[in-house]
Amino acid sequence: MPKIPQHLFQLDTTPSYHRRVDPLNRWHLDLPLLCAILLLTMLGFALLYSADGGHTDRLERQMLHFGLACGVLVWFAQIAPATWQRWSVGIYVLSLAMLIAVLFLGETGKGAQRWLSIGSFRFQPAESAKLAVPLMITALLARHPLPPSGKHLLIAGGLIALPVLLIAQQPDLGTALLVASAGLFVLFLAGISWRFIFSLCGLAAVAAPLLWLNLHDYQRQRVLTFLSPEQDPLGAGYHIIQSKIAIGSGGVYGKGLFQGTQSQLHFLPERHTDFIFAVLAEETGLVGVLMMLCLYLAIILRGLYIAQQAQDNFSRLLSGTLTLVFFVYLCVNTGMVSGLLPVVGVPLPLVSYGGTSLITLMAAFGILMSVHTHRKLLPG
Amino acid sequence: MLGLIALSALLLGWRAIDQQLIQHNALQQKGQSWQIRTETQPAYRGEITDRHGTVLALSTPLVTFSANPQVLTAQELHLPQLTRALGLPPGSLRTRLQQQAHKQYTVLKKRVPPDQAAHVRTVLKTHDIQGVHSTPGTPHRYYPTGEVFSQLIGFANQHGQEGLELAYDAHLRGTDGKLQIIRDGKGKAIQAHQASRLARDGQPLRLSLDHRLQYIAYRELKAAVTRHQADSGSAVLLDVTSGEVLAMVNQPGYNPNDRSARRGPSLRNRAITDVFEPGSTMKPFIVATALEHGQLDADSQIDTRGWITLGERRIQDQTELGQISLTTLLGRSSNEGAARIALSLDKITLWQQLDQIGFGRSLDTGFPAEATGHLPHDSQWSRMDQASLAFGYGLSATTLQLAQAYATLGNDGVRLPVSLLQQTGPVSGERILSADTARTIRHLLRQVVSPGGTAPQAAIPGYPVAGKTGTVRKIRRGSYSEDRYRAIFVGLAPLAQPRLALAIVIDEPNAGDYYGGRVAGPVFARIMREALRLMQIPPQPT
Repeated sequence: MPKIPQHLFQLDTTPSYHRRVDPLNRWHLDLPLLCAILLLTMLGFALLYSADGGHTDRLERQMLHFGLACGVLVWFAQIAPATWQRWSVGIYVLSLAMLIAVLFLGETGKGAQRWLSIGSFRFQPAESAKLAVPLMITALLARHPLPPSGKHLLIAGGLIALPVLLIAQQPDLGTALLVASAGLFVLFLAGISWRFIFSLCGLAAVAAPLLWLNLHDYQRQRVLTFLSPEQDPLGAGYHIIQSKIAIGSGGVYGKGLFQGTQSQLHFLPERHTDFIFAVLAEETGLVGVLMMLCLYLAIILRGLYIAQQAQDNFSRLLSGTLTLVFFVYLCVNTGMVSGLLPVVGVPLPLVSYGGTSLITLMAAFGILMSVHTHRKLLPG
Repeated sequence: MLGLIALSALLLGWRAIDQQLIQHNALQQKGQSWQIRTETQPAYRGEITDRHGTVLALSTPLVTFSANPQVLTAQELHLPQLTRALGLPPGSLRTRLQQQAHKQYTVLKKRVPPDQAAHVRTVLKTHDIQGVHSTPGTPHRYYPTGEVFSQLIGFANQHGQEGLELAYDAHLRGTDGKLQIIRDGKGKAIQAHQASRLARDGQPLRLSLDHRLQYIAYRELKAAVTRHQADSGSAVLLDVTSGEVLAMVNQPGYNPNDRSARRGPSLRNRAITDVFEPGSTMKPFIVATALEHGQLDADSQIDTRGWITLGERRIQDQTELGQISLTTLLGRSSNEGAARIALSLDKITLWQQLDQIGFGRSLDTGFPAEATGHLPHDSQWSRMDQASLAFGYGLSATTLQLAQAYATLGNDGVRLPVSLLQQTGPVSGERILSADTARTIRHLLRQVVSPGGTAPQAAIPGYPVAGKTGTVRKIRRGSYSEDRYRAIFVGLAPLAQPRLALAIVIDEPNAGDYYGGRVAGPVFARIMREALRLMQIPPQPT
């Protein structure tokens, strides 16, 4: 009997890709993304520890948040994109309901009604809209051929506007802008024409004076402060001046952790949250800033790669949108802290102190990983 | 899309490079201007004490209290206590805080004295009030003896302005320190960063004066100036054996603690700054010159009958004294007798002797605006000038110079430098008269205070004294006034071994009496009597 070549026996029913994929994929996790996220959060922990002058209370709480967020990430990654598509309406409605609830039941903090308490658990419903809106719009548009028709665009516009307006009146302009941009990114990625985009910009230009009149005093002040912070160095311009000083003081190599005078002496406002980038810049210098920017860039590029590799419209639109929102997050925060943009309350993603924001971000990454690891790969 | 991302990333990267490399220094400095504040650490001015260590001028620390309104307003509950402790009107603090609510710094009260500052700090501590800071303000200069030492010590604010405060400013003044303080965002000092310059306090200054003698002199001079409705007056008490000034007073005086009083002619330390013609108090020195140079001896008789005619002018005593001894000449103060002696002397000899005694010479006390007086050079003398010098016209001196000249007589002819500071070692002087001459003059001067002399009021029971009166017409509009006088008495005690020299000058007595013996003599007696007692100099047989 002729000997059957040994390799023929090795053909079995198991698809070949299962053997080539690393064990993390079994858990629907993406290694490069996970590494970058972990590195950034570690950096965030170090900065938080330093910004608190060596106290660990906040750090411990943030670690707890992170543990929770990791759980959410893993959980969300297990849910297949098709399921997300099915659930999107439900999630959107739930999120909207919570936003309405906060209108009546919300707790006030720092002049805004943003918080909702369930038992001892406190969170900002606006954060959930950051996920719910892109999910909803993506699901809506992906059901129909792309590019979307005018009718669908109109519906999508309405679906975006509703939560955005609810959030804007809390007031939380930063989150409202982020949610709006999340919805608009979906439209953009769905392939609407440039003409439409430009006319939207034109509309915005017309609406700007109207918006100005409807802004809260403190919001107007922020814009004015952005335009000329030196006019009131002790009052409205204080944040941005101190933050610029912190960044500039860092120099090339920084002053070292715990050595930043701007942050350690409490000149830097909101140094745990929105202005933590200034702490990084002061204590680790240009080197630290560029390293951190590289990490962010890695995450964004990986996200765009995932979007590019996605196999259906829903997955592609969703992953692209989530990546872009993350990018906007980064730009708005660092732009604000370095004085390129007006001060809007947007934290530095993954690094700033704050549970809700961290969990939302990690949830988004969970969805990204889900998109990537639930692909039906062709063998060979 | 990727292009947009790349562009944004580049923009952010460039921003970081711009701020951290290009604007690095500017921004860092700006930060330090927030974080590091340079505070002045005030140095204390040195104390001025009398010879016994009694404090005459001292600096007390004053405290400035400031607050951060944004922190303090939150503790409204304790504001009334704080207001009371600071001594502010009720409710004023609250109003101030409301007005300054947007600021982070407001001064609550300046120039709080040390005991009150301690009380405020206790209140802050017991109620745990946050946001109030105290900083040392400029120390306050205080003069416990008030008017008594007024012109001599003068006054100072940051720097010496008048008197010894001005003369010894460099010695008394300290150097302020500079302290860099790191503060946090709430304005709270975190640590004293480094003293770029330590505060160095000023040196103490110990005067030769005795505050008890000064007070007696002050009291008696003031009483006399008041009684005689005089324009002004000065008194100088010297220690004959050391040249130290033990008392130096002037009227009118002022209270140096009262800022509004610090102006006008009462600031003048007339004893040092004002010159006058010494009048008859010059006569002993003319006689001394004649004795020293062998023109006369102690038993010589001077013929004062008739008069001396010099050109169109005539020198004559008011009452004809006839043939008189030197004792009578000085005791009755004969102008004609003194003039005859002066005219018998060689011009150069007389000038040299008077110059050596110190007329027209600086005393080098270092006191601001010290006057040297004026002794014209002998080459410029006419016969009349030479004769007038004998009874003290045509030259000028200060009260201190006059006192020193008599102290030289008291110190057996050895001239000692005068000093306003306590002398620690032996003082070397210059012999300008023989001991014999000096003793002879002293004994001749005893006659002045005897019942037949010009100043029996200057006699002191239990102590033989030597002295000389002077009644000088003041110059008014270029000529000698008929009704304005300066009453002078200068004397030594005790006679045998003098310890003290005292000069009294009372300017323009307006209450009738104007003779040196009647106006200045009693002042001499009162001050000298108490001075001798305080110096524990035993009474001596007369």
